[in-house]
Amino acid sequence: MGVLIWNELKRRIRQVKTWVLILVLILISILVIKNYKANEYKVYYTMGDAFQSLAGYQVDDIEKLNNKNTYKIVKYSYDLLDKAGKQADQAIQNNDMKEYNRATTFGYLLLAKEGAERDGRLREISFRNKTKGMWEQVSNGVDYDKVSFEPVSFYHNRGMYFEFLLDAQFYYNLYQKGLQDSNEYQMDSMTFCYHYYNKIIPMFIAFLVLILMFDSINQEHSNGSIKLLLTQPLSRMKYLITKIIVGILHTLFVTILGSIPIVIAYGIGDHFKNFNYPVVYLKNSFSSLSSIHNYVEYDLIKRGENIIIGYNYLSFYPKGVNGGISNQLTVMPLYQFLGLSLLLLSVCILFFVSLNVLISSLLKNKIVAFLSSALITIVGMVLSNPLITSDSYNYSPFSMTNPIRILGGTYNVAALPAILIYLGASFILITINILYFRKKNL
Amino acid sequence: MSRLIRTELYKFIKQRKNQLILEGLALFFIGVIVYYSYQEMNYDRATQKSMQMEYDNASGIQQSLSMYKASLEKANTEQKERMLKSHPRINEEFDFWDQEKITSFQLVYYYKNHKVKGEKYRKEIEIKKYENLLIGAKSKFISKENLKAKGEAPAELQRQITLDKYLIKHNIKIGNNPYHLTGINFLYLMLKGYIPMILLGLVTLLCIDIFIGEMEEGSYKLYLTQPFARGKIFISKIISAGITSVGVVTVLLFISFCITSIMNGVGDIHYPETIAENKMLYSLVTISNSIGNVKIVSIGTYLVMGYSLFFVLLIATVMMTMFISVITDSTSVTIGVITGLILLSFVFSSFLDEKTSLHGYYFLGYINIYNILNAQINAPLLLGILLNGIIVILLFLISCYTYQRKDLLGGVS
Repeated sequence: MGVLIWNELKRRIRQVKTWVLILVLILISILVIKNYKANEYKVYYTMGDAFQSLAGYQVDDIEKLNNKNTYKIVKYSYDLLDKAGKQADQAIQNNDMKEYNRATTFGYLLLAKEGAERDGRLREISFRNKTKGMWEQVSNGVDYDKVSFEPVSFYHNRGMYFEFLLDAQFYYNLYQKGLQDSNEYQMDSMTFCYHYYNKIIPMFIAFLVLILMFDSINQEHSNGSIKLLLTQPLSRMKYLITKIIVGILHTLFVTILGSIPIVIAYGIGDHFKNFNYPVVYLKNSFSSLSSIHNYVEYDLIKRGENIIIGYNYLSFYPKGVNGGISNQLTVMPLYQFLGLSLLLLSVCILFFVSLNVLISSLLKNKIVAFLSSALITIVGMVLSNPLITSDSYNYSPFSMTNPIRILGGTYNVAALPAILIYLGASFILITINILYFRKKNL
Repeated sequence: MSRLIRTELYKFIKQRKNQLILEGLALFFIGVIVYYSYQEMNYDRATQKSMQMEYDNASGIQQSLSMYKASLEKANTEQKERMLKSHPRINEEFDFWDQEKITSFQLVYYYKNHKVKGEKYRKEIEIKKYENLLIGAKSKFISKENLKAKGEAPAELQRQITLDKYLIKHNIKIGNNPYHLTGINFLYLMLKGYIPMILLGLVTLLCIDIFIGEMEEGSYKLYLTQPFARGKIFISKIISAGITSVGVVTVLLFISFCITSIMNGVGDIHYPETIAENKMLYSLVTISNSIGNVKIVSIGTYLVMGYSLFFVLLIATVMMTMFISVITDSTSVTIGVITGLILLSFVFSSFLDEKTSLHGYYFLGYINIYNILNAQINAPLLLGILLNGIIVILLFLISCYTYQRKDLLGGVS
């Protein structure tokens, strides 16, 4: 079987359509990059500005405090926030990104502390324990117990606390790894991979499999070579499984090779330095069946913007309600995230390959098989697409094609149910195919 | 020759594959009618919901800007300077979101109870809203991506304003639902969005094996023993492919037109519709500075131009399919390449900027007929018709030459 897989794969890779599709993917990637460059915007303000402004809002409230000791503590705390902002601004001017990340992490920690104190004593203790190491490294020796915002902290809600904590974790990761802050339109070798599996592949994966696999069995049936092949000591079931394995490997080959030239071209310039860039990830994606609401898509429709990779600064307003979802998110290195994305993409490919192989085995005429697969795919996608933004979960295999968004928790489905559904659906399709093909008159 | 064409047509009709595709095409037309009927039913509710979202959004931003303005007044010079960096034109920005909030609010209440104030009132509010959005887009208070995501790209806003102003000025009865399926409106909607692309793909599949079928089966040898020149056989195949593809679409369009006309009436063929200005429409080169400029014509004229372009594209795509099948002798490769070419037009429309000249010089880029006719992408109608016409002639000549000189003794490779 191994030999058969290897020979079949070699034969398929040599086909013209394999290389045409790879070229098309490269062309699409270039267009996407061009489009991103056109959208690059000027950043008017830094986080330093934001911290200074937030500290400035509280001036009146601090002045109203009657207790001298409380006044001193609160004034000191907001001065620290203002100072963190100034340090961040200064670091930008000196082009010292490590210092910028340190000051920004500290600024966010202060804001998160303000939110935690407002939420109650238990939250504050939890915050202290969670961030002890981080605080020590970025605070430049500021004593945690001498900082308090409690008497005047009324701006921030619970959702915003988690938001600031996540921001702090994000910048702390950048600080530790010596990386530079990125934005949605930044392009380098590794962020290109992220965009490739987020924007390009989900849109075309079903059609890619369709073009590669619609004639997988009926081609050999039409030209009679299947008879010769089945005279070999190979069961029909093994023959089908070979086709499916080759289909997956072939699609992965086209998909991955479509990104390699651009990744290498960028990588020569940037030495793949962003390979461990922190990316937002849904904490329980592989252990829970439920996901969070798709706020990114919602915000894209509503506000048309989403400024940081896989992460929305307005995420503490899911569906316009102060619910707070950032406590379910955490950060993960990009290479690890991309590895998990490939795993998810593979099960997605398995489903579409199983579907196309089944149709190819049912219908001898290649054109009818192509048309049937295309219609099933298009109708499936059109009917399932509303699930991505609806209030219910997105459990249709036709609309779970974006591994990046699933792992980021912004596609109305978590990774575990996505994998289970794909495996289940593929198992059913393969079983039907085996039962049918076993008795097929060839 | 006529006997050959008759034979080809007979073979075409008798093929099981073609019967299945014809059934698929009929289902597709029924699907389109059902889809638009559903859209018509839900239009008021869906529009009210989207206006409510726009109101909420504008309201939220306006509120935060008003807080920002208040803190700006209290801030010292250094703070003011820093705060103005993020919102350099805060007063204009505030006014923009204020106007957006008011107009969205008025539209929410209009859709809740639209019989009270009438269609003319709605159009007046829409004009105000769209003009304000155009100002916002120009001043970068709202991003182009945001507008596109809401289906309000600047060129589309410009088109709506021109049409609405014309309707109000000439006191023309305004329809209350753009998806109301009269016969004429059905023909109009068939040229919108991705429908022409899907139709083109389906019809192409009908003709894909007109040459390869016989080559793969081996029956071409028997066929060529008949006393007909290869050139004549080629031409008869091309003519029958042309007749079937154009004929099938025309018949299905006519039947659907009759059904929708019986259901909801024929509609007014003189009803105003926008179309690109002559400068853009009849240019032989791409012109990026005329994007969004439209004039008013009757919907009849619009449909004539739209379907002329569609049928030219259909013939060009069928010819391209014939060409690929003649040179490759493989159904799989032909299907792969044609699907790739159609997908490429989708890629261009999704990822390319509307001003890029590539829209005008890629023959299948003209499949976005609505955008072409309304000057929303840089692709003039005349250039499209000419480009596709040249492709048809060139491919016909090359295919004919290749087919006549093909070595058919060696069988299928």
